[in-house]
Amino acid sequence: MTNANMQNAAVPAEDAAVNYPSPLKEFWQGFSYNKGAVAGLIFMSIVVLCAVLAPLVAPYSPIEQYRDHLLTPPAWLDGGSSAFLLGTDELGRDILSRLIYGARLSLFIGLCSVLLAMVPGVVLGLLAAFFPKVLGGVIMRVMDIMMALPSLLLAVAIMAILGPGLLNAMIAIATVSLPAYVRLTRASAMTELNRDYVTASRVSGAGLFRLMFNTVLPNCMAPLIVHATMSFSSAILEIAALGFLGLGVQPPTPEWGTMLASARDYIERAWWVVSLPGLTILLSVLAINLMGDGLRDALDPKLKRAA
Amino acid sequence: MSLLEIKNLSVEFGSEKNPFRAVEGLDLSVNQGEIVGIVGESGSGKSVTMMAMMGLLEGQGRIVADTLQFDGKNLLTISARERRKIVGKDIAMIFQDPMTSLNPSYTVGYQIMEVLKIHQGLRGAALKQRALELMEMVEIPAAASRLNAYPHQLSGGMSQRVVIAMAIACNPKLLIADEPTTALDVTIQAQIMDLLVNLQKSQNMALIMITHDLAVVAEVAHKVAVMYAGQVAEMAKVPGIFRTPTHPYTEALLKSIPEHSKGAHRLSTLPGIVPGQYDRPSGCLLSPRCPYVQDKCKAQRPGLTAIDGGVVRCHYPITAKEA
Amino acid sequence: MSTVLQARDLTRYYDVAQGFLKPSAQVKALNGVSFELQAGKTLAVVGESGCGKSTLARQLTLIEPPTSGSLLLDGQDAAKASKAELKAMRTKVQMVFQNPYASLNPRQKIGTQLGEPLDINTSLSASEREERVRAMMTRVGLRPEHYYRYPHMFSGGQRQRIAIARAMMLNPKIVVADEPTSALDVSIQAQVLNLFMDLQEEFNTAYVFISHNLAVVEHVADDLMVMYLGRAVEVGAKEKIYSRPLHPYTQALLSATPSIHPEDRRVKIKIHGELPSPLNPPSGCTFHKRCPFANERCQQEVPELRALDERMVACHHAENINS
Repeated sequence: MTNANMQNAAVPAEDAAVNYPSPLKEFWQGFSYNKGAVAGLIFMSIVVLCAVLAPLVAPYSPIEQYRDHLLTPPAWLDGGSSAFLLGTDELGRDILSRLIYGARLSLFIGLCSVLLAMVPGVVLGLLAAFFPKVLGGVIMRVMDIMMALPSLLLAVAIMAILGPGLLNAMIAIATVSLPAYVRLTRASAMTELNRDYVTASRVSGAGLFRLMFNTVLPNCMAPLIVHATMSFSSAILEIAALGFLGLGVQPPTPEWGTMLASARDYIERAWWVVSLPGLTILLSVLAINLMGDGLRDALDPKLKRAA
Repeated sequence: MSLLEIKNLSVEFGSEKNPFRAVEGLDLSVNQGEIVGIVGESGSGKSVTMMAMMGLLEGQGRIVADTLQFDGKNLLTISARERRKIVGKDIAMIFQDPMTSLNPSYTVGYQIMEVLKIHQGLRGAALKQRALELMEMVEIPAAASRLNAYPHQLSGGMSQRVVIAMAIACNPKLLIADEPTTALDVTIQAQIMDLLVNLQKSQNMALIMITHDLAVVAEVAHKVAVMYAGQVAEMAKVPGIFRTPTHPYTEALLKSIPEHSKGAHRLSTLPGIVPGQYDRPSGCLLSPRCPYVQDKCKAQRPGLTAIDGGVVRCHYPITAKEA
Repeated sequence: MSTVLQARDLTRYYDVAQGFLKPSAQVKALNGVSFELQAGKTLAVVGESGCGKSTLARQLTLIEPPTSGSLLLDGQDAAKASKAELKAMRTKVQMVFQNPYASLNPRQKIGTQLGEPLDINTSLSASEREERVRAMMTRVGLRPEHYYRYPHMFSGGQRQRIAIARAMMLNPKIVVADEPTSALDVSIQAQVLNLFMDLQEEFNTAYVFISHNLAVVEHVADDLMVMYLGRAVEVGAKEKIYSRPLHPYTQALLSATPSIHPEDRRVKIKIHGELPSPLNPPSGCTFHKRCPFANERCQQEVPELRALDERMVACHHAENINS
């Protein structure tokens, strides 16, 4: 009976005008069908815009300390001041400005560590799937060893070798999240490899590179995209943890995770110092995850609703 | 009084506003001890009909019928509880893929005994005895040791035998077999068909064979219903329906199997495909594909008319034309 | 008439892990198969699961090298070819798969998929490729406007047309078709078979047509090779084998094929038992456990293919059975 639907989908379009939207428009159609994804996109666009235009948008400098206004509550609370919309932190810095400037670094860190983990992870995963006997075995055992270590400990160990610094912190975080990408890619590539269309491509003479990246990889993307959006958020949190240990972003550079970590002493006295950066991270992560869902739907022609 | 009586059954899916009729105005009657074949291509509604009858579409499709009677009970009005007593006991079903119709986590013996426990209340030694007996009835060699086998340890043919054993466990009055041999090898297919027909005779069951393979029903069925796009196109006795088909669709189906065009270079085909949800023609559903189409066919949907030993849904049945 | 494909004693063994600390076992998936294929002709390979049909297809399409034996493609030995020569040879053999839902890349537009063989193997520009693809789409009965569609927008029959078009893009000498119609409805099957026949006539392509459906095979084949557990048991012209099968397995297969008209039905030869596992094949003639004519000799001695009544047959008792 599933066939009925397939045929239904194919038949009416027989007579429909044969106008195909450009790939971009098609992508947008698929993406915009998902309301949550559009909301996520709008939120993230605002955040990215703020980050890019931070000097114009932010009311104050993120590192300037207003000693008269330590721990001022947000404007709508008792004792709040309209000068500091979201209040100030323990050193009298404007939280709104810090959040806006912090977006720059946080988003950059998230993006970089996801890419640093994903690109090699996908390549290693594909290699492991295509050469399962020797190379695949070696890669997977190494990944198993990496997964056997506590992730923060591993990151700290890597930092100890590479030395502190932002780039090194990102490399450490990427290395820690590498095994998940390798496993994910390998698993879905292995199932795809057994499909006839891969054989068909082989029969028509496709080389290894084409098979890996042109034929198999696009069909493994859906879980990878979802995982990438998820690990975006954990990257922000992990960099904060490293920062807390004095290995990541150094104060006073504004960064969401560090803000969260450094303010945790004041949680009982001034909740906004902790909650606002936390809320920002939460909302951004949520928005990115929603976008990830929409991306997956839009990139997967199987799930697209037939016109 | 026939065992199963279906009159004017329709099954709709989708929203109220924009329904998709998977089955439309279907009539079918099956007598005790009769083998009825239901033939049609994918999407013709043959499986949906059976699911609707057994109440397996609850919550998905809307079922409307004038009569839906099994063994004197009205299946439309009885409670779900009563229906569960009938389905699985008096009506049993065999599915296409034996590998997926058995639960891979339990031994086949456990699964057979489960059916016996629920429907017949057997316990202890009697339970095991009956399970063994059933395994032997479906000609499984070394039945006693196979009781402890898991489905993945059995071949496709063996698994299908186990499925059949579970289906006949409660001596059903009606056995529905949905493409029971499609997933099997040719020589195994023949064995399973033999087994089904022998069981049907020895148990005096009615057997409904749903299949797309005309040759299979031609060999065993007493009566065949040919379905097209949710409707019965023609229902008649075997072998009459295969010798002198009266509906153009039946004729086209018969012509399109290679056996018909022996020695010919090309097979005769029916152009196009089965109409889908959005492009049902307003007239006869076959009219866009029918080689004998007339103006009346495009305008008006034909009803079922009685012909020699059966019914046909066509304004211009083929015998009438030739006469 | 030119020979495009010559297989001599093709064998393919696979090692199968048996579990921890146990030596790995060997499966003789293909155990010495020889045949010749002429340009524009069709060799049908018939057999049930585990007979080595799919392994044979992988050897013929040069995806996998044989364990031993030689394969001459258009007069060129695949085993001796250099990498560049092998790449050129690959374009001469293309393949059509059984399941049209799995054989097309769901993420690529069909225009791209059809153009891929050209992209890899020719130096045509993008616009020339598109032109060729559109021409081929028209040729196989698809609308060239569907160039930008994804596979999921097509029905099973249309997908199989796309798969056939992809196989024909490089104008191969040989197309290996692995059960190309078994997933399709009867009337669609006829359309696809006709397409195969038309393309063969137009391009003089040779087909290796793998199937278990003997009615379909009878329609398309010129020659027939019946396989059982990695060996050919009967090889010869289709007419010869269909009119008088000599091997008991061929006889059983033919008699197990159902048929519409009683006059076409053969005397049923029942063979019992399951297909043996290729991991643990019976000694001697692999068919002896199911063969009604088997004696001690069959248990010990492997029968060789030998000429008898204008075909090759591998049975010790071929004369006695059929006299």
